[in-house]
Amino acid sequence: MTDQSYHDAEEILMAFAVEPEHDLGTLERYLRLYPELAEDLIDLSMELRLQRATVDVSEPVDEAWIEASLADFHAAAPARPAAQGADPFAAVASDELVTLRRSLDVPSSVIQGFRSRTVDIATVPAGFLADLARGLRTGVGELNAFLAGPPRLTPGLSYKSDHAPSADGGKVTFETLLEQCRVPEDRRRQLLKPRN
Amino acid sequence: MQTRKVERLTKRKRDGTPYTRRVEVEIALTSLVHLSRDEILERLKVRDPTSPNHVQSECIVYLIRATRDDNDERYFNELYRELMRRLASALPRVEGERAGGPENVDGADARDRVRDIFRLRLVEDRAAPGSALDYFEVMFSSAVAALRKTSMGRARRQMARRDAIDDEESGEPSIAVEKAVGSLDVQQELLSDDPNYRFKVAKAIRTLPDKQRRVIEMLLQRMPIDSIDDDVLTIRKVLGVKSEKTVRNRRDAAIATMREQLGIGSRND
Repeated sequence: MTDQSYHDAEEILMAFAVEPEHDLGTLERYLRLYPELAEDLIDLSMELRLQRATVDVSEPVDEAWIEASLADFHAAAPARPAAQGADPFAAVASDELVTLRRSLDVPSSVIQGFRSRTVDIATVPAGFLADLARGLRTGVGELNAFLAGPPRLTPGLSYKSDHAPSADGGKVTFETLLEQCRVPEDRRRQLLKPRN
Repeated sequence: MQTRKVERLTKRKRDGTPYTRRVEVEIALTSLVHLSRDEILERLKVRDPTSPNHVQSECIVYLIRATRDDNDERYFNELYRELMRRLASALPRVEGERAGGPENVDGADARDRVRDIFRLRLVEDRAAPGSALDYFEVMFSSAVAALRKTSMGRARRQMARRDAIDDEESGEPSIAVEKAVGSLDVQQELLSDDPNYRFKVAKAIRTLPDKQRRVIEMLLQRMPIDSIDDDVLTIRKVLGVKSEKTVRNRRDAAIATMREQLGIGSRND
């Protein structure tokens, strides 16, 4: 058997497997179309029947078997950028950021402070971080990993300046960021207050 | 928030129409794509398939394929682990395989092969998006069964030449077989209320010789054993044997073996 016929056989068996019904009509149709695969089709028909009959029988899973496969996957998968620094803002559209800003009740410059990583993460209350992560559809862990990186120029923003902007100004506390962004004092206090 | 779209499948059927996911999978995906990763990972911990928060395997395939341009290894790894647990569950247990014999392949080898082929498909899908994994989003466990069949087929064909020509073409079943056959409604046995008993029946069927098991499947599908009408597809014709007697002999031998394995006495007991 050639590689091509292996491939064809697999496609046919896959197509049969995902048919919505596995009654005599379906089996006959495949047997007539692909008589050379009769044995495989009948075997698969029986296997699907047995799978349905035992679907509720649970069995212990061999985690080592799974970990071995995961290790093999990473060994074979194409190299990817390092996980640290995955940008949770990258996949979020600008109108979504506006919605997020409104739901958090902060000016857009506060969101930019996070996006450019100028805020010191240690000074941000956990509740606010969790809300921000949820709004970005990411996890708090991922957001933390991103924010731990050095300050950067906010992507996609234009600067009206004679000098090229730099991102080496160091990090500021969440409180300073809120002050710089002219968040009213009442709202500042609310945002800085730890939640129960 | 913007609505996140669920990508359509691209694999096409023989008639050119595209494959689609089952309605319940589409509905689940539509809400899953709006969850944060932490929320999805929490959902993966739900083991009870009847829970509304249980993530169907087809959805996990979609989610893991969607991480193609992603570098969040933690999220990917958890999806991968859970998907492999589902894959393991969809495969028959190792002890369900018949050990040795020219027609059977060792069960553990089959499981490893399916796992490794699936992994390769996933690597390929990430490097160059294709449609090979679409089947797993239509019906995950069935696609796993098909992959298992294909992977076993390759090994089996290598051994097929050692398969002896059977001598079932003629002759009567042995007296022992005749005595043991009695009546056994396999269909009913597989519908037992007791899941452990159903597992036992499935095991007994899986360990039958291939030729006998195939006869049982065709009988369960209510395919006629033989017919004078040339247009009717019959078990005899599918098997390519000369006599319907061969079919009956295989059926009787299979029933006798199953009765013995299930501890069901013969009618003469």
